[in-house]
Order: sequence, then structure tokens, then C-alpha cells
Amino acid sequence: MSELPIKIEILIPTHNSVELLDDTLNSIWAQDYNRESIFINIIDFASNDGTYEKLLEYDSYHFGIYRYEGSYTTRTMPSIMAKVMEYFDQRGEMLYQLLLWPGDIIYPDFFKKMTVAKIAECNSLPSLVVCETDVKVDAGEIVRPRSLFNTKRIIKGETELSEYVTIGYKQNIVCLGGEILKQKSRIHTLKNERIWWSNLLPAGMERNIVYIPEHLACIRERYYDDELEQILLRWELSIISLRSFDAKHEKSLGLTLASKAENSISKYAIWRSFLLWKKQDEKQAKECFEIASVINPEIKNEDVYVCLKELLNKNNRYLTQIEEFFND
Amino acid sequence: MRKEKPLVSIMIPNFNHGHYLDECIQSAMNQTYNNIEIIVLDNSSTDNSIQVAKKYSSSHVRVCRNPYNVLNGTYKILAELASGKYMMLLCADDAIDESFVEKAVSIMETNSNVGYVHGERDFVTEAGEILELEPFFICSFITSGENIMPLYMVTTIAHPSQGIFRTEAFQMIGGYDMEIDHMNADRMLWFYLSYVSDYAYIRKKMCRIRVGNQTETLITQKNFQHPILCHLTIKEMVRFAKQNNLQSVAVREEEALQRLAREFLNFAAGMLAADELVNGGRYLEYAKVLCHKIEGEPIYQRLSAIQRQAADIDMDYLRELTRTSLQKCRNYNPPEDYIKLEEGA
Repeated sequence: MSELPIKIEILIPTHNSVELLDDTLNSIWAQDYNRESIFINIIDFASNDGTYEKLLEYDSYHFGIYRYEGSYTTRTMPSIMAKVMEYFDQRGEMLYQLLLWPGDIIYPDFFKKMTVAKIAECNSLPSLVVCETDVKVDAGEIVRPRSLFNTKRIIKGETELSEYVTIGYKQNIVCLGGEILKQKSRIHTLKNERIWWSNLLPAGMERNIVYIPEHLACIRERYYDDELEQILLRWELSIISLRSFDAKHEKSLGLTLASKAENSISKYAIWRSFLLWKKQDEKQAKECFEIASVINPEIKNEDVYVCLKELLNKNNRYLTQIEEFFND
Repeated sequence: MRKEKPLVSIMIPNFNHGHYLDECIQSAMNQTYNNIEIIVLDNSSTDNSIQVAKKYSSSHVRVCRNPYNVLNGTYKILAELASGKYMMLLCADDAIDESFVEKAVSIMETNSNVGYVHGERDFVTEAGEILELEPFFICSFITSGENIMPLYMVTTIAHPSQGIFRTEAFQMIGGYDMEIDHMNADRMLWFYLSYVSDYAYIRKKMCRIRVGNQTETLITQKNFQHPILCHLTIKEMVRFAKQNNLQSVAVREEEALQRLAREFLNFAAGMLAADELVNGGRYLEYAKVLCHKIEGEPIYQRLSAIQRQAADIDMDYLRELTRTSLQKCRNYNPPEDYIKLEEGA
């Protein structure tokens, strides 16, 4: 399988990541895959902790390093990378892109299994192959979430869109393939992040995605500077995606899918609220909690909402139930 | 050799506004300024829009069509098709005064630092009734972009059809690749343009903006796309301000959220008036997310009682609140350090 001609381009945006680089890069170099077919491109976004200097010390084949000093946000980093990388015209060659963040690692058989899966299903013209991932939480512990599905499958973009909105609101995944987008609008930057199952909705529309139930990577648990903003972005993404689909096909996917999406996003908001409470970020915890009932008023009837409300009002008696709910 | 006037591109995105398109295109064609290209981009309308538009097809009126409705992607395509030194986005249900382009271009040709010009507006209903508004500012003027930026935290000042901008400035800010959202009256476009250029305002009525039940804004109020966007806009402006050390902008965050919360009360009133109690409740909740203090305000409490059906629906009261959102405070003084323009300008 190491003779496969498929080239893999790994994009890694860095900013003050000097402690996290080695793990990520070592996991790429440890791949059971033809080294000739692996290209690593790193853009350092104005680090001041020695990240850029450390990158320059690596003497490695197919290893591109760039330094960016312009305006950016974490969300626009992949778009900026894609814009720079477009000058490497590899069209005509089979090229799959992978976005990795510092500290995220891929297990040694990641490329082999992912590329084989994509090729095996090539008759379905999949745009992406997606796998489950372990998550490294703050304390250093590695958690293995339950897989969304039991078996490898194709998620069909025309008929199975509901899979992205009815399950997996807190599921992380890793994607290979597709194209990291150059545009910096909100919907494009959310598409580029490619670590949340539910945010695959626009990528999955009208396109087939290959799903692998195996945990082939381990990513760092994600927290955002503005968690409320992330919830709003997710909510907006679902509205625009469904409207775009309806507009293009002159039909309505129905209120059912929209309301399911809202249900899922409000659960995400509750989950984030709980995580933030555990991190003692009371302000953000309350913001996330309050927006949940705006997104879906029905969530007020759910036990987890009632229990979390008590918790945020400094009553811990339902803490265990809440933990169990989100660990389920 | 006589120098040719610079080209102005008037971009008209359209979706199912065939009944307004004649007035819109004619207002663009009837400009006193004589070097204009008009680009109508239809989003695969299902009404008679293309039949209306293609009557005007000529060397300087291009009628184009997307193969399907690409929603906001339309604006980016229009910007790619335009080639003028100056540009404007004219919504298909709006119309502009015949002298607008000439006045705006004259200001920008004379003042090379000015990146965009706003003209004042009236509203026009779906039935064609003109709702005259007091101008936003008390006089026509030019001011630095830095002076006008803080205002965008709390108000839009102008609708997309009220603005003509310099293409160079537009490209400098990244054009429609940035987070420009037309549902939010292009507020982010004006904000970003103000970061790279100066601002000019024409107090004379230059534009007629359509308001009514079928507008995109109402649809997006119902599906919550509009309020999400308003909220994200404030967040983006604050983030931009902090990143670029614009203290005069960043300090208005709390005020901006309070104003938005009050606007959400007006949206709630509209929903309740339309018997949409659930959505009315959602807007009331969202107002609290933005500003907890709003819970103590009489309007909030009264709307909340109506929503809980603890009080009778007072349609006059609800309509008054909804109407109030259209007629906000006007006749402001310009920001500090402005240069007054002659009112005939």
C-alpha cells in the first residue's frame, strides 16, 4: 500500500506552539506511508515563543515553512494557508489535504487506512473520508468517545443529511480530502475547521462522505476564546446550509431538519456551558446556557437543562447526573 | 484631450423582485452621470424578472443569471463582473435619485482620501407610499474614517443602496471575501472601508429603500439568521477594534449590545403581532442574553406578559413598537473634526 500514488498535503498553522510541534510532526513522520508522497506545509502566524526558530531547525524532506505577519484570527488561519498554498499547483495529481493543529496527532496507520477507504469507495465519488478520533483533555488524559456508527459507511449527501444534525453534536472527527478553502467568510472558515461532525453539514450536502468508525487520531480538546460566538456560528451555518440547499433545489428539506439542527445546537450549547462551568469560567458558562433556550425553547423541558440550571445557581446536587448525561 | 469620466459600476442583485425591477433599473439608467455600467445579476428568479431585465440589455446594461439561487454568493460574483473605478450595490427593490452618482463621484474625485459616500434615504412601502424620514445627520460633510467607525457599533447609518464606494478601497479591505453581510445593511463594509479611508455624507435624499413584509430581512428575522448576524457583527467589530487598537470603537461594546437588545424587543413585538408567540419568546430570551438589565425595563415586562398570555395582545402597542424600529432618532451632529460640504453638493 505504500506504493499508492496519492499525495498528502498536511497544512499546519502554528502560533506559539513550540511545546506542541514535536508530537504532531513525529506522528506524521511515523506514518506507514510512502514518505515521497507526504508534503508538510507550515505557516507560522507571528509566534514569539520560538516556534518559528524551532521550525527552521527541522531539516526534512518535503517540509515547507512560512512566516505570516498580517492580520488573522484562529478561524481564518486555514483560509490564509490555502491562499498561500494555491501557488503550489498540484492539480492533475491526486492530492488529499489534511489540516492538523499543533498538538494533534495521527496514529501510524492513519494515511494508509484513510486513503484505502477513499479509493475503495471511489465509485461513490466521495469528497472526504472521515474517521473517529480520541481526544486529549486538559489534564492529559486521553478519552475515546463512542463511535457514531458501528461500521464503515458512505453518508449520502442527497438523502442522509439528517445524520449530521440528529447525532454527534459533540463528536470530534478528523477529515482527509476535500479542499481547504481560501475564502474568509464565516461559513467557509467553519467548513475549514473540519474537526466537528455536525459542522460537516455543508460539506456533506450533495456529496458523499466515507465514514470510518476507527479512532485513527488523537486531537487536543478544543476551547474557544468566545464560546458563545462558536455557538452562534454553528447555528448560522445550519440555517444558511439548509437555505442554500432549498434554494438550489427549489424544494424544502422541511422544518423537521431545521428544528433537529436547532435541537442539536442547543444541546451543544448546554454541553459547552457545562465544560466552561468545570473550568470555572462562570461568565461564558452562563452565556452558553442562556443561548440554548433561544435556539430551542423546548430544551427547557429536558432534565439536563434543569439540572444544569441548578448547577449554575451554585447547587451541585445534580452534578453526577449531568456528567452521566454527557458521558453517554 | 478631454479626460473621460471614471467608470461607475452599478451592481443590481435580484431575486423575485420583477415587480420593482423596472423602477430600479430605470433609476440607474437615468443618472445625470454618463459613464456607468449596470450589471443585473438574477438569482434564477421564478417570477418575470428576466423578462423585465432583458428589455434593458445593451452595451452598458448587462443582464446576467446564476444557474440557481446562490444567495450571498451573488454579491461576490457581481464584484468580479464589475470594472468601474467606483461601485455601488443597488438592491432590486430600491431606486436612486438621478443625481446620486454624479454627486458622489464629484466628492471622491475631489477628495482622494474619501473611500465611500452615503446619500440620505426615504423609505417606500410595497404599495409605493413614500415614508419620509428625517436625515441621519444635520448637514453634508466629510470626516475621517476613524471618526465614523464607532457609530457603526450602534447603528448602520445607511443601507447598501445608499452607498457608492471606491473600488480601490473595497479591494484593499478584501472586498466581499470578508464578513460582509447584506442583511445587516452592509454595516461591516462601511466599517472596514472606514478603517482605510475617509467618509462623506450627502444630506439630500438620494435613495428610496423598500420596506415591507416580503423583504429578505423579515424572512431572516423569522429564521433567526438576522439576529445572529447582528450579534456576530458586534463581536467582529470588537475583535477588530481590539486587534487594531481602536479604543473609541471597543468602548462602545456594552452600548451596542444594549441597543441590539432593545431592537430585539421590537422584533419580539413584531412576532407577537403576527401571533408567533414562540418566536416572540425567543427574541425576548435573546434580548436578555445580550443585556440582562433589559429584564427590568417596562417594554420587556409588558411584552413578556403578552408572550406568556398573561396579558391581552394589544395590537396598537405592538404595531407602534414595530413601527418605532423604522423611525429611529435622526438629525445627529456629525462626528468631531468634520468638514462641512455645501448642501447642493
